[in-house]
Amino acid sequence: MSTSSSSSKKIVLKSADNETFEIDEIVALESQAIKNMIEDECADNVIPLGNIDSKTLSKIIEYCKKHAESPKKDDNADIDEKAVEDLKSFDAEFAKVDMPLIQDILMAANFLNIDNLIGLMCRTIADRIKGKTPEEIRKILNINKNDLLSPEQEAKAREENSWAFD
Amino acid sequence: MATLPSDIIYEILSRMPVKSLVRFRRVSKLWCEYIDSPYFATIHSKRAVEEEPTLVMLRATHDWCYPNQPRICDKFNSLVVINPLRKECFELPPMDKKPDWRLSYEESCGLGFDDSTNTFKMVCVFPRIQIDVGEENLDLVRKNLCTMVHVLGTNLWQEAMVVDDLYEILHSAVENDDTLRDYPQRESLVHDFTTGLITKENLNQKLAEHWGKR
Repeated sequence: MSTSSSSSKKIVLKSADNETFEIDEIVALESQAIKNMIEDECADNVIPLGNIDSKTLSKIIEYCKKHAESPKKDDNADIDEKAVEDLKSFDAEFAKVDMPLIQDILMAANFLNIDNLIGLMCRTIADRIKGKTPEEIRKILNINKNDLLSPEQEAKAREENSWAFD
Repeated sequence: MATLPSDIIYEILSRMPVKSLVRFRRVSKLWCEYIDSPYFATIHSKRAVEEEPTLVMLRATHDWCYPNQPRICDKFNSLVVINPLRKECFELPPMDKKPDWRLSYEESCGLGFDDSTNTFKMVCVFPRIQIDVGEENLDLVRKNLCTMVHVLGTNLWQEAMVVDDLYEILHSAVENDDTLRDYPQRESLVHDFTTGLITKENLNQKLAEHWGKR
């Protein structure tokens, strides 16, 4: 159905460390935030993303490219099962990165408002931390040490845990 | 590395099994606040419905812990449903339609979350009459199945409609423990908590098979 035109509109994204990425507009539209900017005509030739570094941005572009290429669910009722599977395995592979990068991608996806990617990163984090101890979680997610429970609150939380599960 | 914003923390926590959540109250004051908020209890239950659309049938074990849902305990000679996240405890009311309601109660029940009303519902399916279970009685069991629905926190059971069409499954109560992971596929049944409709064929067949094999 869709014909790829060689003269499709390009968008340039600039990372915090001043690297530029030229991408097709259709790929950029995966980001609701950029889409709004384009629709409101406040996007110049170059969109500066001062809080996203190039490593994170290139991962995000990789994700958006793949998802922009894949047929959308509401486009076609009898969507190719294979395409769905393909996208699923892409997502699974995509998420196989270390926790700091996962969190950077998540923050960037949140800023750029890319719903599917936010969901994927949250699921990944949830899967990775669900078996951990509170101490481990604090370390992994960089939880503020000033926000710890008081000994009384800690005891209460432990008691509730055993009420429910012992 | 920046600290994740609160809406993202909610997103992550809403994908977490209850067993982890109860433990994670100890992560920080903020997490404790998030997990205990009524807003969170609702989005968590809704998420569970979206992500694991299967109704599990409970078996005669008293201490299965549901990752996202209440669990059932046999305490003080009555059946009690416990929701560890909301810290609620419900005693199930007796059912007058069931000839011997204690006998196979747990084996024919499932819990689900109705996201149109934000309530937990329990579905119980059983033969209306006393039947000796066994392969030879499959048809008899199938013809006499009765489906009752109970909204947790109320004190009555209502008979649910049974229809032939397939409905989307809108509820969840899936085990997280590895040993129980493949259980839902084996013994799930189809019930739409919003409309109260149950797929007759699927249901009858599964239940009849289940009883027949015991």
